Amino acid sequence: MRAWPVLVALLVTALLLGGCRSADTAPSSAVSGEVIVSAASSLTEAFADVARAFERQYPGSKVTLNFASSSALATQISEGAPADVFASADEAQMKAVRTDRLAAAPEVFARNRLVIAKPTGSVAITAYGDLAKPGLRIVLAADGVPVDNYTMQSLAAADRAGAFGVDFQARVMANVKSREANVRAALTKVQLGEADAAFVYGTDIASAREVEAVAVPDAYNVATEYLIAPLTGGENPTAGSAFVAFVRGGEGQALLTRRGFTMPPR
Amino acid sequence: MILRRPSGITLAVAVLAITFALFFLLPFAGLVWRAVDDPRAREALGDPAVGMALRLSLVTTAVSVTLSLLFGTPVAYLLARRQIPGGAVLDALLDLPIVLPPTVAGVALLTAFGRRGLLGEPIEAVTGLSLPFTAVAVIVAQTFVAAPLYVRAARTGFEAVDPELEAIARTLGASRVHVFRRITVPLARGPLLAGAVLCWARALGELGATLIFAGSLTGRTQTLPLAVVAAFEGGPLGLPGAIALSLVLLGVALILLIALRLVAKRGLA
Repeated sequence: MRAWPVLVALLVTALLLGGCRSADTAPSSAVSGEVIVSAASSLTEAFADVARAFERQYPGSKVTLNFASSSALATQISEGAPADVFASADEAQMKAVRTDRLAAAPEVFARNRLVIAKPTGSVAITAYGDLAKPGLRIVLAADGVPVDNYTMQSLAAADRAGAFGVDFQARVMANVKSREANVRAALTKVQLGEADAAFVYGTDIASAREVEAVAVPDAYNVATEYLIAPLTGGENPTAGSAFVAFVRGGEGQALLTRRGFTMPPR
Repeated sequence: MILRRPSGITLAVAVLAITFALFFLLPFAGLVWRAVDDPRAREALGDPAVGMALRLSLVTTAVSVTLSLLFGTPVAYLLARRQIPGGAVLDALLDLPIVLPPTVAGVALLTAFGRRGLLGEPIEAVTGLSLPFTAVAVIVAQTFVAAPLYVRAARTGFEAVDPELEAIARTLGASRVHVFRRITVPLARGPLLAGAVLCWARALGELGATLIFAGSLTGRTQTLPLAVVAAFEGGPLGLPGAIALSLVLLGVALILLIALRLVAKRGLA
């Protein structure tokens, strides 16, 4: 009787069906184990710092960072991607996750401001009003990505003010050559010199080479707020909550400040 | 031979085969199910953005395939008849885009044809024109990743044509071009068409190189696969849009595959 091929086949099938997710260690009140943090891509450097400090504070914990546009992360979370914490670059994407009852009450933990990134030394754009110059190559983040929402608010404000002529927003939009997946992808196109300008956050410029900032005037700038919340579907809620508390706490806030983020008033 | 009850081997093979078949069937079933189940997905099918992406995909891939045939056919023939110096190098070079991840192709294209690229910078200095962010860049990316598939198939096809037949036709006074058109191509028709269809399918699915080299803008450079990504990552079409767009791509791919099967059958006949 040749039974082993059947056994092998059944074993393979069982592994395929059941082994997709390894068993997790039993949850305990102590903060330990893997905590998966889905964070807006503009937080890349800052959250790497925070994660290292968190792991130092809680030995035995391991932070896994997942960076993408907040809108992509919100879709992932709504589709059941495993994550314990969601850090969004705007309220809209946090709301989307909240609507699906997947996140606890969010808290604002950082602020940022909009700037225009241009290749170092480029003279194609020197002021906000230059955005409407015909032939300028502008790259924006895709629709729904927080930095794009802020960009549209800024352009709409400038358009209403009328300081740069009629149809300013429409003329700027006519210069848009591409919609990138997230703010960092847009910045990369400027770093490569392919694009003349992109709307990014002030903190993005600080950590990037070969780009410099053109200021967005205060009158047309936008208060950008980052929100963080533990996710209800996470596998490690204890560590998730601890991570949120850590980001909001003294050390987390200091690390964010060092990367150029500003803090919400307490 | 007497029929017995199925042996362990037969059973094992059946289990493996069924598991494997389900693995490929379920994702497509899921896609169709979500499209049918979700009224927003059906609504998204009628969105003008879907039509724009489909049109752009069809136009750019048609040009890419035409370019692949135009430039690829002579190269494939020369490679098959080993008539060119450095043929082995060219052969290996043409395999690279097949093996490399398309994202690498995108970065490589930027370093060559980007605004600061080897060729892109002088071209822009002289003509003021630049490739990235244009439909031409989409075509360049598609041709770069897809043409090698055609060349490979065409080369195999040409190799199967007996050089004696070509030689005989030549001795009967036919010109080289005439022989190629009337003897070589008809004899290699099956592999040539199969290669063209494969090339088209690959161009249609192109994502990574296009995203990096051509960017993504609705109606300009956003082909169907790029539109799926944009919708999935939180664009206005959202997840229902991504499903609708995927369904459109699935439909086009199916049509191409059926065409391939028909071509293969006629090629054998």
